[in-house]
Amino acid sequence: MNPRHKLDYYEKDLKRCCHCSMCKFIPLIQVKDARYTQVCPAISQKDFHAYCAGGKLHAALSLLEGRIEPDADLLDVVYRCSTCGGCDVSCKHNRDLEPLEVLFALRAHLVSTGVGPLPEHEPILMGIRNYDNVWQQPRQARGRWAKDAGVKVLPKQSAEVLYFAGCTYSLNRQLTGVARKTVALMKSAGVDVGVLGEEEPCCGSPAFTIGDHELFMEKAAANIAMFNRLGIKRLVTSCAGCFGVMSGKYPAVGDMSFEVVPAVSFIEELVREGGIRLTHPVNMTVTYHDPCHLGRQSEPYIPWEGRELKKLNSVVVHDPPKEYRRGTKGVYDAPREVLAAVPGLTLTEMKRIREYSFCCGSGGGVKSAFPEFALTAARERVAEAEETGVRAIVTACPWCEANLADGLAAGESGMELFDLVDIVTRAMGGE
Amino acid sequence: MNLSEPRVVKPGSAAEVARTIIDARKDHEPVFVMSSGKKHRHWRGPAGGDGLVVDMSAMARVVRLDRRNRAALVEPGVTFGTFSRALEGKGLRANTPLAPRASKSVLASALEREPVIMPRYHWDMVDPLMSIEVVLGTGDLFRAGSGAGPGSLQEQWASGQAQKSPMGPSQFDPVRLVQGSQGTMGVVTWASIRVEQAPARTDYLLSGSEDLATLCSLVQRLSWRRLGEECLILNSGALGSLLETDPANAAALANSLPPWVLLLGLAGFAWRPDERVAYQRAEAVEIARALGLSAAPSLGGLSADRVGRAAGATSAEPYWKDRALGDSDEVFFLATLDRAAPLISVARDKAAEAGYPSEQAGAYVQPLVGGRAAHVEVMFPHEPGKAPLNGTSRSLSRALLDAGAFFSRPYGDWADLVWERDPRMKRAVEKIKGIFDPDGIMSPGNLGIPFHEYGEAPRTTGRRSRKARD
Amino acid sequence: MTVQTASRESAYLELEHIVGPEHITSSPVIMDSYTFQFNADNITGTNWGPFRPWAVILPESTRQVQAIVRVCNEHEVPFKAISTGWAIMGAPSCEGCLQIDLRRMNHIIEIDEENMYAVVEPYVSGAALQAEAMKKGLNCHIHGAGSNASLLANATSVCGQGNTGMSTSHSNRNLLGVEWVTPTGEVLHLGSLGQTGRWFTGDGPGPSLRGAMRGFLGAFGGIGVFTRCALKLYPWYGPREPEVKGTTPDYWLEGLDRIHVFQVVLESWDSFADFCYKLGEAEIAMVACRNAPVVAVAGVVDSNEEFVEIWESEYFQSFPYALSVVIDAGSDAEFAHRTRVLHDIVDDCGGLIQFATKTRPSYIKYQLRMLNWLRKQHGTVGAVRVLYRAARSFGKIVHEKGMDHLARTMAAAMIKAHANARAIFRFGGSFITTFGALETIDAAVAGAKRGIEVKKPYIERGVLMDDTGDNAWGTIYEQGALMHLEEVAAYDPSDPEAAAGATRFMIDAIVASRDDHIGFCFNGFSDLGHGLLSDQTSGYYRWLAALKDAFDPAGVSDGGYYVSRSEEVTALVDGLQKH
Repeated sequence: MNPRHKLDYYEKDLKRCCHCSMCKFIPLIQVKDARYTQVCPAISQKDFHAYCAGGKLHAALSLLEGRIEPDADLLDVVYRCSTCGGCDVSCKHNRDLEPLEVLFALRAHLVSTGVGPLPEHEPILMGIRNYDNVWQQPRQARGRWAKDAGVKVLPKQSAEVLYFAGCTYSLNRQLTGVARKTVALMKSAGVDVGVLGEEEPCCGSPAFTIGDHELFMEKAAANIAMFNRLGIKRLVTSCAGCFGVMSGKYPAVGDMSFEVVPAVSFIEELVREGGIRLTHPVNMTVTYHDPCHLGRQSEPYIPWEGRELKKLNSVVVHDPPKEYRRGTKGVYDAPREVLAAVPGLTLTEMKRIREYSFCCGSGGGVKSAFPEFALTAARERVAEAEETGVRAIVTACPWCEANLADGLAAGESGMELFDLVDIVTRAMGGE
Repeated sequence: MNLSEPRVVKPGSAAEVARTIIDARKDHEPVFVMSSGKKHRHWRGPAGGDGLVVDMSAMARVVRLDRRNRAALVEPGVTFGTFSRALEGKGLRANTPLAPRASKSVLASALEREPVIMPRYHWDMVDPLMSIEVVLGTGDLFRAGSGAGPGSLQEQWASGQAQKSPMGPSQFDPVRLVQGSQGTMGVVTWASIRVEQAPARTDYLLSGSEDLATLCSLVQRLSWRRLGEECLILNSGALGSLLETDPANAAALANSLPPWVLLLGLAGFAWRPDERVAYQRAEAVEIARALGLSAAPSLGGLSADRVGRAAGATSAEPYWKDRALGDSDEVFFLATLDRAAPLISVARDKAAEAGYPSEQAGAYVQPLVGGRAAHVEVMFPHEPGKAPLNGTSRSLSRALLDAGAFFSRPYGDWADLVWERDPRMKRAVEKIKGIFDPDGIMSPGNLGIPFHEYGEAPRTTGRRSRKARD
Repeated sequence: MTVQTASRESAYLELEHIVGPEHITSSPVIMDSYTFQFNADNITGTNWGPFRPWAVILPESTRQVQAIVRVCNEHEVPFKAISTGWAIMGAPSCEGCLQIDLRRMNHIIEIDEENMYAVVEPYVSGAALQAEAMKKGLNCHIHGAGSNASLLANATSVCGQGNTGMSTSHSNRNLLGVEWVTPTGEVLHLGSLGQTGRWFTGDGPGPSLRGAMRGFLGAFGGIGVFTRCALKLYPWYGPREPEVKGTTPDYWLEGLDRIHVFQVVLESWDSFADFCYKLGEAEIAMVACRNAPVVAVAGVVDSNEEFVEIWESEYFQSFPYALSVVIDAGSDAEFAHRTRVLHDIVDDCGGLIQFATKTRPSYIKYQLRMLNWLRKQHGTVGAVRVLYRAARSFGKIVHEKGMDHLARTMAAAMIKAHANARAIFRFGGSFITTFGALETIDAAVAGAKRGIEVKKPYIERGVLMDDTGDNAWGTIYEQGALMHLEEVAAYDPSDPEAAAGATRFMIDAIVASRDDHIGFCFNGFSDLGHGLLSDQTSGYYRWLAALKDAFDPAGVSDGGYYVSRSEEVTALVDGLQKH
């Protein structure tokens, strides 16, 4: 999405929604079980039509046409949504509309008119503005995880690859191990890798999803400029949120002279090319949870500027032709291929996976504003994982990990939760 | 004049029927309809001669046969005898009840939702009835189903229509409201009937078993594989009666058969009929074998062809159900196939308690709606004038209801039993009757709705009964 | 109905007490999400229906629905129930209406495998039941709206045409037991349900009250709320859990070894009709679905741009008399028989098979026939031009994906009904549909021909999509017993002129189908439809209104898309006669 596009840019989409409710379900051909038809955590919990993507499109049109005034109910509808993009994939299975972009534009509209975001989001935005992280931690804290990692620190030193840990892997003590293990793994493979330490900025993704597009663009522009200056070839990040925004939204803000690579793809490359060897059996059955920001939302940005035309009286076409992001080009195969390469490990899939995966419920600012919503979504996903009969959930996103851990804690299944790098480290003989 | 005999009119057209009903309405005179001019089972006429019988036997035209669309438009007086003759050579056949009386009205049979022997063509309980023309209890002439229009029948035919759908017009299905109403809504003056293509070839198979439940399982499996046209189960006694007019021969035949026999007809049509019959037959045999049954062209010395022909033809006289002892009482209801055997046991046990020799009872299971339901019928042959169940038929019916039998066609006492169980449904039916027969003149007593139970307060002013006039 | 504030406040509190405060709201943003509906523009010229609901309520049980309806009666609050709620007929048609959203009632109550039926609540989608049914070797009839929509709504309350009607009949005829909360709040259990607690039939005792609840078109919520129903299931001979391949939007099913699609083309409407009759009598097809060229192309492309490129080649328009046939079989012998018979019939009718699952070399004869037809229509030079353009547009897709792939995609689309919305909403954003009588094959064809004539002036005026006039979609039912072809017109709902044109087209279509006596059209509902059609349709209007009176004496079940009560009908008819 181009964050410069305002809500009225999408007016035709708003008027061409047909209220079909496809956005509530996974693509219908993928329904394998009546229990798992839904794709949208919001409508799954709130039930009123307004909470699905179509309902939010109607809300946006109603707001633009002055039928409704912004109020607390509107904010609830707009923000009680993890912006996971499941709706977008399902809608685009049949239509050429942009429901997720509309949702982001609607949030931006509310923020720019002073109506949004919610009070619970203010600390996040303040954290980004004042501390360059969403957790309002002092900047110095950000580099602590890497202190004893024996890794180069940029920009004082130079490296071909920048490992970008992200706010959560840097600052959440339960999760910093992921960053350490990833760097250790890269080093063991001989990768010329460095980190930014306490200079590592926030990627700005939360500002984007919450709707402060001004702040996001400011952050994105500054980050792109900094990364360009570093002269790196590749930026590798373990954080799905960082990767998703850098892949899917940064290119709309500025030119990037480096490639953004998710850690799972980087690891898959190392495994495939023999840079690391997975030799130790990990005797475990697992299922893999596709993080939204690593999956459907990480699909690369596709620039398009042009005009809409009508052919045959009514057929809407674009000049130049417009390619739609349908969520199919996310990172789905790499984590599965890594898991397949782990000896002793068996992967059993859930019913909702890849581009039609069910969200853990953590994104879009709901974890802070509506924690019970996030927990219910996590429980739903955990239940789906439990039904596969496996021992553990594997994923590759700090937000998912934190929220799924809460979901597991609220239940009694005894399932374990791993980041993909935990499994890889074990397969390499580590702990 | 015999005062106990009701007045009978024989209208020759729908307009005459309408005039008759309008007059009866003015007179508050109960009206009873007889389609083919014969009093068949369950027909109930005026009590004590108080009322008017509309005998529709003068309206007996097969108005139209449409081979391309597999449709027939018939008047009430058309009997199965005349209908089967009309279809001969036209490439069509009717989906009839099991060996109906030749004098039975085709239209009345469909209106009563009588079971038909080819369940694969019975997509819906309303089949084979499609559209109707009816003179309602108000005296209004009305058409329902797709035959309602727009346009007259002739105009519809001109655009290629054939009154093929029982749906509508628009947002209600009056065909369904008139069907099953036992004449309490109005007088049907024509009906379009769904007919089927005549096969180029039919192979009949019989499968016998000691166990009805196993045969019912076979029917379910055949239904899932969509195999077969005619498909029904009879007990040996009923099958004997179906095939032999002489009771002794019937009994001898029954004795030579297993207790339960399934008839399956496998048809081939215009396109590669032999190939079709061959693969279907092989599969049917294999499905039966998997259940430990055989399915073959004969059973003992009995040819399946003979059974197939008898099932689809009209019954010779005496009517096959009456052959054993001269008369027969029946109890019938709907159930799923898996419930047929236990429900028949309930009926037989209750009859035995009443002193009826259960081995004498006939039984018939007719799969319907493609095997999703079954008409289950237990027959109690008896000598004319004797009550086979010694006055316990009501308790037998109640026991069946309690065991899960559904009396979808509640004649006589059954109506009270079913309404007692669900009075809300009775009130709903009365609402419909209040629309189509606001004065309650149509077939009072049927459906358990007496003359003045429904509608406005009983009117006496202006009511002239036949007796009073005379 | 006058909205009395004090009574409303009291009603709201009572309703809140029934479902809890989290399941009722009158918040404007939520109300508007129920006011926005496709086809609203045909009434208001905007995306919004004429009336915003007074409140929306989410019951979770029949008991709650019954209590809600009783409150509505007590306080004279009109109500309108929806399930998945698609199209303007699901929205309120009057001021102050309570929208009853049945989304929380989403359970498959039972699948009776042996007796081949399922019992569902209102929010069970076609996709959900089909997935569960297929695990048991069964399938359900999914209506033309697609597998996103409610099966119960389709069976009880709206029209019920669907891709697989050839083998799975029509929603009207697939209904078994029904649980019905009448407009007065009484719960009726139709058929065997009321007597036995089992759902295997919905007719009786005595007359079938199924006749009072829906008809051909459905009452669109005008006669109470249907809370559970049983539906017939049909055999499914494919894999119990079909494997889905590909990625959106291009998914297909693997393992349909004995389920093949054949795109059959005939040379004229007459031979098309003959083919349909013969196909029905042969009893070989699972699906026999007519997609007009415009939809056939839309079904194989991933964008409108691709569509336009192929369409402009004029290739598909040259073969309009086409039928998509799916053959299914429960055994190899059956499959071989059915496939042979299909080819026999195609040859007998002088048709051709344009493409099919696992295309075979013998199709060369069809290619030659195709060339001959092209030459007849366009001349030799014209035919070469058409073929050249087709090769540059459609040929690209064939080259990338293969004809076999297209056939498999088509089979999946017809069986799973997952992409029904794509082929018609993607063009301009909306559509309107007309004609569509459910009668004989010949009558359906007559309707299709007339539909083209009625639509053409609107294409010339630029308000409806230029599809050559022919977008007659429909299917055969019950092995040829019935057929419907509806004339579909795509347009852009964001263009008020187009929306107004679509409305006018619909009215013209009603009048044409009436005056030409080609069956009772799709649009014959509501007082407008009844007013136009009743006089030539046995005067059914008064009886329908009387039914409404009898079951809804307080007039609370919103009947704007059904029928008004008798006194209003009389006034309407008097008014019409005066004008």
